[in-house]
Amino acid sequence: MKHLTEEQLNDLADDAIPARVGPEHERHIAECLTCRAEIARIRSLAKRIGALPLSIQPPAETWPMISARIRNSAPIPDQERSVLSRRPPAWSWLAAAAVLLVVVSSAVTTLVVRRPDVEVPATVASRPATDNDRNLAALSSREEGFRNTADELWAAVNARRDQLSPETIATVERSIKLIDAAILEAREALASDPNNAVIADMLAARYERKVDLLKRATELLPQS
Amino acid sequence: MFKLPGPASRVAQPVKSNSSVLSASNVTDLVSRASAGDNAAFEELYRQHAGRVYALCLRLSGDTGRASELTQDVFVRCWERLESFRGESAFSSWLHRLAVNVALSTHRRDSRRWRRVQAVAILPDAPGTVRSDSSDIDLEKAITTLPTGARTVFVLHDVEGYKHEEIANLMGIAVGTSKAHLFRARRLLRKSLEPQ
Repeated sequence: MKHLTEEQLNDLADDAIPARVGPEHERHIAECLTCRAEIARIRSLAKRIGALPLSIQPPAETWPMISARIRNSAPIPDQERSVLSRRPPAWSWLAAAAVLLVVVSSAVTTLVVRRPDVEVPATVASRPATDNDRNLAALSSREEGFRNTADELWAAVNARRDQLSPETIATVERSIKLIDAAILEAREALASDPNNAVIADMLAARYERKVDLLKRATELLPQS
Repeated sequence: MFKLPGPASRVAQPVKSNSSVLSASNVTDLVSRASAGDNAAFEELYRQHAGRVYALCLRLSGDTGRASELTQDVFVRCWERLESFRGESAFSSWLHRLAVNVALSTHRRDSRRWRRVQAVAILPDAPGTVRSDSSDIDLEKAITTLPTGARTVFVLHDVEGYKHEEIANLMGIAVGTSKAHLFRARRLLRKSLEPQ
């Protein structure tokens, strides 16, 4: 006995009986316990799905974040929208964006550092060593500043973490972990190639990203 | 035989908020004021529709943090495009379609970053969330474990009531592919939920 195909079973369960489910298939269903049971199982699942709530309240901090993003901006008039394809948000407390930047820049770092067959653009490679020396010295100083600032901000968030939702804390921690990994990666790359100004810039940018993320997190804390 | 309601019937229903049913004139007034730059009116629109948008984003992404970010993106985009809402359909339908587009376009952009998360970490009960029994939670968790394509089609078709043709159009895939994703999703869910 040839059973119905998965598509036929689903169509029958959905009550979307196309022409291909003809009389021979109906006879088969009438006689075949297996196919009838399969249709019943699909319907049973659909019944459960139909009972799921269509509305779930978002975390309380969602609206304040939206409000901050649209603050001081009016809806874009139609005629302007056709010119401006999409206006970037006024600021972006988006951990996802931070993570995405880190991932992208990590990939670039990996390509630059680990692929000997990739030619580094001359404008980057030929920067005078003296500039590099100055840049690295400046970076070292900035790095300490970034670290101190990040530590202070994290301590502030940590001290009042119970005032943020678990989802927010989890997002911040996940993002910080990724950024720290990216910082470590850039530092290791810089240790292997101390004169590479591109990597030094990446490292600084990642510290800035971390500080920015932590600042946003502190802004989410209720006013005391 | 059961029949899941289509998108129009599921999307355009009046949205219940704080035990009050919103009238169309109330929504029209809020949209009008918000599109003129009234933040308070826009906040009220958010209060009325956020639950529906968040639920969609949560099921499509399978991650609470991601869903919150997507919800923000949807409402920021909504704010930017309010003037393009002509009132030809219900605001809730327009917003729902916008939310689907934002979620899918973000998904396409960040597809490598999207990942399945531990089922235990998702869907904490939030205020206003009605969960009548633990089987709902099991089902929600099982949905998050579906492969991304299968989950997306499943949520749009079986939860939100879209037709395969609409899903194919939204996702840029063939109707047959949409069906294949759905059948796979249902098969995996049954396997996951039914006693062995």
